[in-house]
Amino acid sequence: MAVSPESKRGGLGGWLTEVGRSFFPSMGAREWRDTLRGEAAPRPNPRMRVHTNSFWYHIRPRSLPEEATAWYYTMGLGWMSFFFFVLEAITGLFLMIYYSPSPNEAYASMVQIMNDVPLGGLMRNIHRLGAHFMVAVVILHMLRTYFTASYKAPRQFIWFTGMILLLMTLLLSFSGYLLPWDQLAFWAVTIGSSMADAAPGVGPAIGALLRGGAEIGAGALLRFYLLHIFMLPMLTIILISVHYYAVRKQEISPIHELFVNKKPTKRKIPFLPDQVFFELAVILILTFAFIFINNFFWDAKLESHANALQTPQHTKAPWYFFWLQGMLKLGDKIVWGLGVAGIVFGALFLLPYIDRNPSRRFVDRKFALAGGIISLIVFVVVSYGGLPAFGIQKVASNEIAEHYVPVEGEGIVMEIPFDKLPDKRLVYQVYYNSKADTEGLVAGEYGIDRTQSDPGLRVEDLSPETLELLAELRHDVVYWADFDQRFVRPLVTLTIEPWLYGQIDDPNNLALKTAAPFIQQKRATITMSWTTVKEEDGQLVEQAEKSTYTQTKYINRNGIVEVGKTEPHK
Amino acid sequence: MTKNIAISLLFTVATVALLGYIWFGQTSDRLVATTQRQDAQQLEFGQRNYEQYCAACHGLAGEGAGPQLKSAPPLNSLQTGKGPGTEAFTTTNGIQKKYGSLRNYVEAMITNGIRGTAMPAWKQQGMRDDQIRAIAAYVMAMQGGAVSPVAKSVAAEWNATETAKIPTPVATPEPPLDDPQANAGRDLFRGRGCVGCHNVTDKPAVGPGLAGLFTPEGTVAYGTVLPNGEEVNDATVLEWIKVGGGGPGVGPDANDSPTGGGEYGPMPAQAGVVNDEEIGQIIAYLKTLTR
Repeated sequence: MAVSPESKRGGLGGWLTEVGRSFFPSMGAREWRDTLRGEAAPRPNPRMRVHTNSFWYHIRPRSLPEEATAWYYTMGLGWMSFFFFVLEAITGLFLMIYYSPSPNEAYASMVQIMNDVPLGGLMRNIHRLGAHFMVAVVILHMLRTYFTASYKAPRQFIWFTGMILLLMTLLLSFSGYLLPWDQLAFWAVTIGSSMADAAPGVGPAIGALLRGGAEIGAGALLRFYLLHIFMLPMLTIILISVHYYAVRKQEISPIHELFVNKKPTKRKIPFLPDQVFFELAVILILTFAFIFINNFFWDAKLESHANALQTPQHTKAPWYFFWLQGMLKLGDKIVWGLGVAGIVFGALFLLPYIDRNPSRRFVDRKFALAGGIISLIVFVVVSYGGLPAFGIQKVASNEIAEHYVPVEGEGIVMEIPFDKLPDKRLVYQVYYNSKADTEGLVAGEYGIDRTQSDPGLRVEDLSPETLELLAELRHDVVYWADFDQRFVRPLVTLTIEPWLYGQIDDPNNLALKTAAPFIQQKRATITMSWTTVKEEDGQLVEQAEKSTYTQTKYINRNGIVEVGKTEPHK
Repeated sequence: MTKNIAISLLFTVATVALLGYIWFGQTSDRLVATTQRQDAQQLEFGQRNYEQYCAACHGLAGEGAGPQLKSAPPLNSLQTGKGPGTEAFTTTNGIQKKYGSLRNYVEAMITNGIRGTAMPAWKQQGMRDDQIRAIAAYVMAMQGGAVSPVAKSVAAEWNATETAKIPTPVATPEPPLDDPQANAGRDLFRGRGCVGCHNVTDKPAVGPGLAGLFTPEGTVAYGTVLPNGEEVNDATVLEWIKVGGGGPGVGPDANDSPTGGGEYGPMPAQAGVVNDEEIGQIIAYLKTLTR
């Protein structure tokens, strides 16, 4: 038992004292106590010592100038990026325990995480929303750095590493996007990898490297998984270290350099205890808020299993790639997808060297500020253009079918509570003569088809939601027939009929013991027939034969569960 | 700073309390609700798959005997029903013991098929496990008469429409063939569903065209051998019709293979459809087909 000769107590007490001292090598226990009690530090300040002695404390500064901590200046966005990175790492670690990166098992493991694992759904939601937030926060951090000219000398290298970190964040998000292996994931990544393929020269090689094969499959999933859990996080941690090391060395760019007559602040906020507890409080508030939002207000959807043979209707990229999808609609994919995107990214990377103005003051940077705001507006507009609602040729029959009875997702028929849908067969027809001189529907050409509907069906029994649905159908038929020149004189029939009954009364029914306990189902079908038109000499000529299209959806009682509620849609 | 310490403590407690509330309070309800939704989605998915792969033989409402009388057993009364190739799931035969539950039995049938019948091994045909589970869930939902009368009438209409799409045999009355066996064989060929997959010309349909099967030149698709490599003669053709080669060529790619046969595998066994004597008559009819 090593007891230092200075200790005044011998024996066990002396040993305990020595052990206690080893826990507080830089600052004694008494000094820690005073710190926590909020007492002023003595001079010279012993609390600064931890920043030279402790590994963890050496990463953070001893004190911060007051202006660097102003929330309206940095808004803590860099700090928040790191917060979200750690949040993703922790929730990702949890998910890694249950997830399996093989196409045979990935989807089933997702379902298991959401249904069977306690708090699994919550972890997955946090991970997903956290990813969106992280990308958003990183982009906002970049914007802040741009507008406060913090990239200028001597901080060019910080900006450079920051841009690489932006790329890492986008890649992390993109690689994780594929892992659920549902239709959304599969097709969004298919689009992304086909964009990589489009690059001249090295494109197909990059695409093959990403996918491990000709198409997205087991190879792609495994490679994306390894990228997502190991390669990219490792690179990100290294780059964050480099980035923050440079930030610490150069110190946060002073706010007074932005204005003409502002004087530098003298006041400094000591890291220990003020900043430590401030950051601790923010961490806990953010964690609580995030868990709260994810449990009560948000739900990460899982679409149906990835199917290489069936492309869903409106495939869209993740929101931070909308700008790319929007640009691709403007013209040639190499010019816009690679050329313009490459130029934009190149300009961003080299910004500190393109911007020769050494001044950080707002008054001296009018051009840069205006350019920044304009770029932001263009970015938002182009992103809007990337939405599937915009600029894609719409076929009326498809649009109607996908709105009412979509293959993927709920559709407005299913969104009506199950009991409010008619439980006797309802056949509703709408005929619209789009070529007639009169506007709108003609009375007598729309309504319930009594020959095909259930004879016992009465209009009084139909719920208000059903009547609203039928009104919307009438409106949509007119709208789409007027919109689409080829949807001529459509006859649209919506049928809602009972399909499977719930058999709950017979306890001897063996089938029920092995079947799902209460199954009820209705079937909704949209059938459309319209006059075919063919283009001859630039004119649309009506043909004799009719085109038809039918789409069916089976509607189950529990098909929709609303976020935050535990009861199914009643 | 003390304010921050107080806030930290408060929110630590709040976070722990929230997690506790979620774990103990909401979790089981939410799991149940999510599970119910997953079950509902699985049922809908199973229905789409059933309509694509199974309804052609088993009928849209599981009533059995799809278009062109493919003679598949009904699926809506598996507890008690018996059809060609089906065995009742009761305790008296060994099936319940072997499979444990009706759902396991259904999944096993879908996955592995039934040898010697037209039921293909869907797993070998490339169906995923989740599709098989979904179809089994839908089949389970059909049990005990759970199909509504409306569904049955819709299924009958669907049957009729699908039947109308399959090329029908020649409607005009033809003179009877000289050989009475061949005549009987022709009626069987048309009536028992062979015509649903095979043309008597060169043209491939789901299966290859049978013109010239017993001639020295053989058929267009395979020549003088059967798809299993054996030379065409009475015995091998009898065996081929009885035992088949795997499964029926249903599905959207059925006409895309280079030989014109089904992408999903060669001929299904017809042992449940025709007996040996009838096969002899069909062979007699096939011998009359020339190129």
